[in-house]
Amino acid sequence: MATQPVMNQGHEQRGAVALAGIGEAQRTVLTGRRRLLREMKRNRLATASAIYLLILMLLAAAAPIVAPYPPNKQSLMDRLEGPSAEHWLGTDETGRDELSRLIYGARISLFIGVIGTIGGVVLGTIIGLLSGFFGGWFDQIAMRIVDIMYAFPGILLAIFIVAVVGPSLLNIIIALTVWGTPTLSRIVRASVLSLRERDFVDAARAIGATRSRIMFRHLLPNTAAPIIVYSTLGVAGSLLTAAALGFLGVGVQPPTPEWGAMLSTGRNYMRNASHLVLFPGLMILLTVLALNIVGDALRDALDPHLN
Amino acid sequence: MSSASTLHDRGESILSTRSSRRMLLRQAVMAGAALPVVAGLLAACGGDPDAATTAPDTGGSTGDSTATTAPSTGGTPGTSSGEPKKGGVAVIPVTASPTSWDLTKSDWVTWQAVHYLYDRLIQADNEENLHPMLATAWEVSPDGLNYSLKLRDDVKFHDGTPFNSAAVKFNFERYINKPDSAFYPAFSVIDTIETPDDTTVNFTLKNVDIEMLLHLAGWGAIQISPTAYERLGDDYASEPTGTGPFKFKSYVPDSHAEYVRNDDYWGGAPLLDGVQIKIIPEMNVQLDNLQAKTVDVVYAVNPKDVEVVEQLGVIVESHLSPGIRLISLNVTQPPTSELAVRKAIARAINRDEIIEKVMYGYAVKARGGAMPGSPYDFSDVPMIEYDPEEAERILDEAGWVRGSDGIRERDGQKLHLNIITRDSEEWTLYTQIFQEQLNEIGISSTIQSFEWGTYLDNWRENKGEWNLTYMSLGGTWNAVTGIQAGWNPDAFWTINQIGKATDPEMKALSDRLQALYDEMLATVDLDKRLELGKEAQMLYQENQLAVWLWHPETINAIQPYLKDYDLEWHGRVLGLTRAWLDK
Repeated sequence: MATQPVMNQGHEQRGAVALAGIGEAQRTVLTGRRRLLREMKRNRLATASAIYLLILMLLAAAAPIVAPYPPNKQSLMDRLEGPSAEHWLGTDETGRDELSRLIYGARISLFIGVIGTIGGVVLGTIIGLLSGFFGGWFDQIAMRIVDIMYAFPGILLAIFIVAVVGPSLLNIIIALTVWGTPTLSRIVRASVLSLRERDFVDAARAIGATRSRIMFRHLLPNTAAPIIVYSTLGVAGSLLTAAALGFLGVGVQPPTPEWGAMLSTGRNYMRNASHLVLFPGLMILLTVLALNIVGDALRDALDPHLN
Repeated sequence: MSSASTLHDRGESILSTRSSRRMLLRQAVMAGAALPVVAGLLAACGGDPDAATTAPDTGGSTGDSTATTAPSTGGTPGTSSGEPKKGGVAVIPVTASPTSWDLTKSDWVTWQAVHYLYDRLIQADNEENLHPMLATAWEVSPDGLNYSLKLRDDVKFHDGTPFNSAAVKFNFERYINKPDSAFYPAFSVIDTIETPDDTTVNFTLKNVDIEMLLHLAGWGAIQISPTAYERLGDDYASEPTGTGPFKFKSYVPDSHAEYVRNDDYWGGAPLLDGVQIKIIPEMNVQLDNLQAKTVDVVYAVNPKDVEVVEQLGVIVESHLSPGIRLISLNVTQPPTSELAVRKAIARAINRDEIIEKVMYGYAVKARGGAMPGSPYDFSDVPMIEYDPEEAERILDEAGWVRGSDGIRERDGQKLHLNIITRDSEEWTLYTQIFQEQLNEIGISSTIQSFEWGTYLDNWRENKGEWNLTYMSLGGTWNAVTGIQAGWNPDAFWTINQIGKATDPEMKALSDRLQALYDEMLATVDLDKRLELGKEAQMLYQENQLAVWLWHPETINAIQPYLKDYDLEWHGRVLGLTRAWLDK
């Protein structure tokens, strides 16, 4: 009985701080959004890139409708043909339509890029939050592990993981997750280290907010900007890593259309059918470039120091 | 004997000459005509197809039986015009560094790089006729157990020491005493080696080996200097010392090796000042070098590149060399343990289209597994042709009916195959074509691609529940080989896992095949061996224990200014003993 009012009181207090917290977070996001729009309007290249990515995503999503042929439909009679009215981007070494494979390949490449990055972002954010907030032995252990992972070149780590567990879509995503985690955890930890000394955190603590509430309702929203920027750039990195894995033959298994694997196969036909290197290479180039430009624009828009 | 080496061509090298394809081996059995001693034996000796310990191709050359002239003339001599010029260095690219300079380990790439330093006892030409080389004559006892060889007395190793019978004894004992050497399987059958005088060597065998003379003409019969080998020990690779037309000068691993002319060569000093071996792993880079005229040959050009290469104005030669590409089927793993499924697979593969469109005609459709033109090439063994309707009928009859997704099923079980492949361009390409062609008749499949070592483990040791894989086997002697693959159930590189079958019917079939194989090895009479070989081929076809695909040709691109070269070993190696550069 005696504890009841105290509990209620605590609850109300927490509620109040929560509102304050949301207010702060929302303000950041709102100004961020406004700044973002302004930035985007000013930066034509970023706008074009964003539109390109949007179209690519739509094409990927609607692949079965927009692709002129099934991606694995072969026709040995028409192999290695250059671009024509029938096959806009030509055919590959088994006579499959290159355009259709690139469209379906966008699905695989974007899927790997996005999901692989999300994995790293989620895991890295959690580790970074906990490390930054709690410090102490957890921080020490977590950061030393991260240091060890940093010591590996990213692509080598990914190849190592795929080589050990075998090449498959899931394993590549796992590899990309492991690959992205250290960077994200460092970024989030650094943000949290400075944020946790801020007044609004002290305020939250003073009114009795629990640690998890402080972390997830107060600190996390304030680290959103660097996470968003990193994620955009991270998708580009993941996409490129996935393509590299595919190029090295440890990516997704044939006949799955994946840009890196398509580029790798095309390399063998450079002298006879250069379009097999040109188009997948171009897709990887444009997509990674677009992601980087958008990522840069986001950083410019969201980084208070640049405004 | 294991056929470790039947796998010699790690994938990329497509080997073999259109021109000589028809005459290939029929003559081989007759070879003896000119060489009375050999004749009977070769004809009589038949085939352990697996004995091919290490990609054993026969060497070039007609040579003449008196062996007084230069040893390597050969398969397809380069066109000669004008007076031969002295000097210059020929540049030969290979895809990898040699794995061993004394051939205790052996693969094609190594042989392509090091053979200029060495000679063999006997020489076999592209038709597998035998000619003298370091041995001037040979005699085989009627029971096939004793071999007596007469050696040349005018040969010196590069270090100045004489080549004699003691050196021969040393060289063969090197293999026999070393079970992990590449030629142990070929020569462990030798019981004793006697050297009554400096120019006579007598071998006594433990049992009849119908391939022995061919082995004495193979890579394993190269002669290295015992003095150098004993002096250098493990450092032999720093100074390989043979009797060949060129002498070792220097070697930079993963980059190049340099050889210089052996002025004291017993067959007459070569015209070239030397040979440079360049290690260039990438075919595209080799072709760039060919275009820039910084290499004089490119071995094993991919058929797709022939047109491109021809535009460079180089000479393109193709040879049909021993070997076969096949679909290896796992008869111990459902659903390929079922005959109907195997038969349907064989009839779903459109070989004509693949040979025409993907191989640009540089391959010959395989019939019963033996080389076209070989004595084992029987026209009455059925050629299993592409016939998708028949394939569908067979599957329908076996109860595999198409489901709503077009894939066949029976008792709720989908007709699905687990395909494994290695991560090379050639293998991945054909594997994907097979997958699609099987899909046409309602068989679904997944492809798993592995690195070479892992792939071989999975395939050979029956791991990973695989059903089907593309396979390349090569390098067995045409003249004595019933089927160009590890077809016997106890083969090291078994092509169908039949030796592990537990199903009584399959087991009985396996026993019969093994009996046929063992009997072939012990049979000296050619007609009898042909009969046994044919029965084995028929059993393979009737039970569809493999799908024979094609015998590919080796395509080589050679600079027009390189004259009087010899394409040896069924067109896979360039002999330069008489060659000269016209530039």
